[in-house]
Amino acid sequence: MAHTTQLQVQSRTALGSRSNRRLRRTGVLPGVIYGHKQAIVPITLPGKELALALDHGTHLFDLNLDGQSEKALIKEVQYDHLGKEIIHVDFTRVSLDERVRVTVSLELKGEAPGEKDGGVVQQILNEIEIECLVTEIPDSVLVDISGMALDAEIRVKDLKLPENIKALAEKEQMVVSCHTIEEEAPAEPAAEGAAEPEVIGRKVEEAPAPAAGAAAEKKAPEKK
Amino acid sequence: MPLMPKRVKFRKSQRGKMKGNASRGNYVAFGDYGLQTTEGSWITARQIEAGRVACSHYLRREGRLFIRIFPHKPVSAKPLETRMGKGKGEPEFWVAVVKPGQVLFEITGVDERTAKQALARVAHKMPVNCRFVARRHAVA
Repeated sequence: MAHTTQLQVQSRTALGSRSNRRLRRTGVLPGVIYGHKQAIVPITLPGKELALALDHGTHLFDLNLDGQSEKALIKEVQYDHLGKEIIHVDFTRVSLDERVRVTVSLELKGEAPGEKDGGVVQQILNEIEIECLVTEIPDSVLVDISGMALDAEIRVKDLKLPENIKALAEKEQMVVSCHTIEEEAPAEPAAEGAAEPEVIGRKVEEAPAPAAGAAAEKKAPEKK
Repeated sequence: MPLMPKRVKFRKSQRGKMKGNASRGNYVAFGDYGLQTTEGSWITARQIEAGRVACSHYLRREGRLFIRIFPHKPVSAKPLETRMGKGKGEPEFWVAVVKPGQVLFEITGVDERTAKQALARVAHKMPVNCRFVARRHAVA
């Protein structure tokens, strides 16, 4: 529960996109701490250590800023357009007796017997919003599928969460299902430019003569 | 049958521009692994269909494939041996406009190695450079 990572951060005086770009080139990330009606502090933090912590699903951080330690929760992480590099992080101050809302990953555990009967296990919900104490934030929520037969489903209400953790998602929301997947019908060979979509707001003219063939029936009236 | 819209407001469209990067649809949202483009381009309905077929042949009813793009844009062309002028040509095919970062396909229900193999086959059918991406941990 509540795996905490320590990060050494420095307050940041150079603001703006150009100085932030220079920072990122050196492997340092810009970020900000706010919350609890205290001052908003722009910070810099080590990029690699943060990325590693996020890969392990860490939510809670112990930020050492100018010799003082502060507990902070990740509020937002901004990525580049490829989702590869982190470009900015928001932290929010928390106290350890606070109840917070966080989103955690849902991970499947075990093998469903329904898979042997030709079913495919599909995880429909991959993350879930929960409300819990800061000290009890799980890295992920495990969903046991070892008893899942063919055509079985697990919904949010069926999740076995620890006592103090409350799921905020809709109770009937599907989490995992195990169904057979119907085989797709082979694609019909489409004639080049045979079908055209209906044009909204255009009146449909008289249907073409039957001699034009079945393919022509699908044609829009204004076709060449 | 390749993908195309059921109803449209206008039969023909102008070519448009592909500036910037994808700001939406740029992370794995439905599956566990995805194929992300690193270039901007038009992807035709035929290419999307070819990718789907290549993937489903490899997976053989295992797992599930999600197609994250749809060809909304009609591309017109003039018939062969036609003189210029006399108006815009007729719609010939449909394309999806993608920008760098767009996730094209996603896979779930298979292990990482199988997903990589399947999406590599899909990437061969695409007119753009692609990279394999995995779902991120929820942290915020």
